[in-house]
Amino acid sequence: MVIRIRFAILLVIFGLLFLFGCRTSKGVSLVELFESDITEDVICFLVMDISRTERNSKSQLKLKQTTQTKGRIKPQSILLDHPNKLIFSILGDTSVLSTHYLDHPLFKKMEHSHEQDGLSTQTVILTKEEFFMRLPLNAESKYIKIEETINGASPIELITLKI
Amino acid sequence: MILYRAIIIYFFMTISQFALAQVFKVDTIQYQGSKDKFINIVVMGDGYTETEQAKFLLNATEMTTYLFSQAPWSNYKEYFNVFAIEVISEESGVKHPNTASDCSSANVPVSNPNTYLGVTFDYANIHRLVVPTKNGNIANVLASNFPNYDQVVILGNSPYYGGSGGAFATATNGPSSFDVAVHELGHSFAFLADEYYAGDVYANERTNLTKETDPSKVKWKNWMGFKNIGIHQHCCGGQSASWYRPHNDCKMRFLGREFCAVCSESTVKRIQNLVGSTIMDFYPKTSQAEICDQKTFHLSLIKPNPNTLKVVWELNGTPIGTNVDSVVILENQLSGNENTLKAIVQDTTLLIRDESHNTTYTQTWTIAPKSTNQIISSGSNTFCIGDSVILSTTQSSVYQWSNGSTTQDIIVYESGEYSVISTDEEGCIIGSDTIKIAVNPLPQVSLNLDKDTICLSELPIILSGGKPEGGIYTGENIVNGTLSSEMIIPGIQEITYTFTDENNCMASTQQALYIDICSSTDPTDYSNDIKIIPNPNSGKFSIIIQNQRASNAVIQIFNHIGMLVFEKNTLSDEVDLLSHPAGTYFVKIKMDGKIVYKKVVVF
Repeated sequence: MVIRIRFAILLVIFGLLFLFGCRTSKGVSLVELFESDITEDVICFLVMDISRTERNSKSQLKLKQTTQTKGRIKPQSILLDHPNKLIFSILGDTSVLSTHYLDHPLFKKMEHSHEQDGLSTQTVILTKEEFFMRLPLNAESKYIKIEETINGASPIELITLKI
Repeated sequence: MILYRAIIIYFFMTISQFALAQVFKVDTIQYQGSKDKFINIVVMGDGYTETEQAKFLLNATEMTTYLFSQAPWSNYKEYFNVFAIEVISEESGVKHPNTASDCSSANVPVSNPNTYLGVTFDYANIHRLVVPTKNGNIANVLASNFPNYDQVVILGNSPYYGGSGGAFATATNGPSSFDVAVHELGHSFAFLADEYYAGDVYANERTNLTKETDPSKVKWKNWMGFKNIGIHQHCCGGQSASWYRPHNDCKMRFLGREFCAVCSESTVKRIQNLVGSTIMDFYPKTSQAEICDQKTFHLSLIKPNPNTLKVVWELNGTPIGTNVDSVVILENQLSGNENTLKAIVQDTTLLIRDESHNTTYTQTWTIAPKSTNQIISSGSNTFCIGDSVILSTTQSSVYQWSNGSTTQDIIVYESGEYSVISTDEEGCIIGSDTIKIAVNPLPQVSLNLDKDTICLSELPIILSGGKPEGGIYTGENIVNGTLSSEMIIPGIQEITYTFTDENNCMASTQQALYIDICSSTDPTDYSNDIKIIPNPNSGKFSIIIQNQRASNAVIQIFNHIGMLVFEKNTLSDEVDLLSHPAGTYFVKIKMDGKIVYKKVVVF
């Protein structure tokens, strides 16, 4: 009898954990980004962890937080020619609506001053990093496909998120 | 045990929900206009405690002042808003773990403050590489406080020199560090390459980086020879020798320098592309305008400093003004009813030589002389006395009608000629055409029936006596001018006579006709067998029917105007009219399919 009661309590607690926790700690296996459809222009912030080991053929992504707020942003996206980057494609039902680029968070181009007026650039290669991406979404946006390019190679899909 | 763990996990996850929506105070350092129109730079501080926010605002203002002291940013300062988010850190300062191999030369004390964005020295084993490390917190602050930013600058609260580029320009306090931020904005805002050789991995064709060595083909060919712009070979190492920059002393190569002409052009083009039209607002607001006597047309422009906007005003293709924000158009300058006024605004800055880059925007108005006021009637302008029509005129500020009214709409009951003079908000006085209203008189109608009283037995009768002839008689039991006996109740009957004249004006008059029972001479009439006893009476009486069964009769009693006051299906009881006033009443008795009326007088 005591075991059954504990089991019932655990069920309730895990149910609450699911309800309150899923928005901030989604793993890559979760595909639903938002609980309801987007009906207007919104600005979406995705906070993610990215990691990579030598054994992996591609980086691992973990979605940590999503935030959306009503509004629009001015056109920001241009073709980024860095050899290491993440590519965010916002997909509609039948077409790519827009594409956005981000320097690969695990291959950081870090620039600093090394003397009074001199500058240097160094590529910092990390194995794990937290990063975020800001994306403009609207009612036509259905999916976000995230790909990576390493050393200019062809893009590899990391995850597709359902909006 | 599992239960406790679950509760603890739930507690921390709930706490994290609140931590997400961290709202801080957002201060305005520089505001030029709408966030949707202007470029928004957001400055965030790290390592500033709650009591150090005034210092943060001072540092953010200093950074802003420094940025806009640098050309070409200084030329286009008016195109930017700058906001500062007062991010509050638990502890003051910037982390310095003292782990970089070059720390000893900088003489910066070791520190490990708990800050909101985690800005730290010594990133990637380089002392001056100052980087924010809590990207999740940066996202939360921006999402909750200023999601539609265009550029972000992070200021670390340290007097020691350091900074970095990347996703955000990051700098510590002080002009030397601010210059790092300005250089980084060259990358993140204007997409410029470094003009020192950053390494093979970053060598790609950019506005200010190329492998092209032909002066007639190089992408900065328009600038060749201007202030030492040339095709300068990079060095040293890797494939640097095959890459070229436009200048040897640009801020994209060395701190403390100016941007070269090529980098300035890229920056200005980016600013202009983001802001779009330099015409912020215009008046009149609509593209259609009317002129009465004269009208002022005005532009609100976003002006560079110095102002390089050239404004040309054209009326029907003819220039009428140059480099002014407003022009006054006189009515006598117009040609016919359709005229085109254009304000052509071009940024003639010498910072741009790319002819394919659009810097021209045009505002066009179609203008016409002010038309006279229109008067609109709600119905026919001809009607009969007693009717009316509403006259409305074009919306304006002040109205003066010919009948003295001062409202936009007037209600007209009388014949006459109506017009209106209105004065609009610009003082323009406009008249109207005259509208004629005709109010026709009603016809004179009389009714003189042949008799005032007729017996029930005389019905039906054709009614006559109405003047002018040709009208219609109406009333109860009147059909096609005939008063019928069917369903009629003895007493007073109102006869109405209505006549409509050739103007469709209509008038009526009434006359009362008394319908009496009278005595019957018909031997088959039952009325002789019916007695009312007593008659006259004080209100109580009996109805006696000889040779008939009383139970077959239906009794109804009406007063002199035909109103039913009593009804019964039997004659067995006494009739009681004590509650009714004295007067003559009519008793209707229906039996054996026949109807008989008797008169009874109650005193």
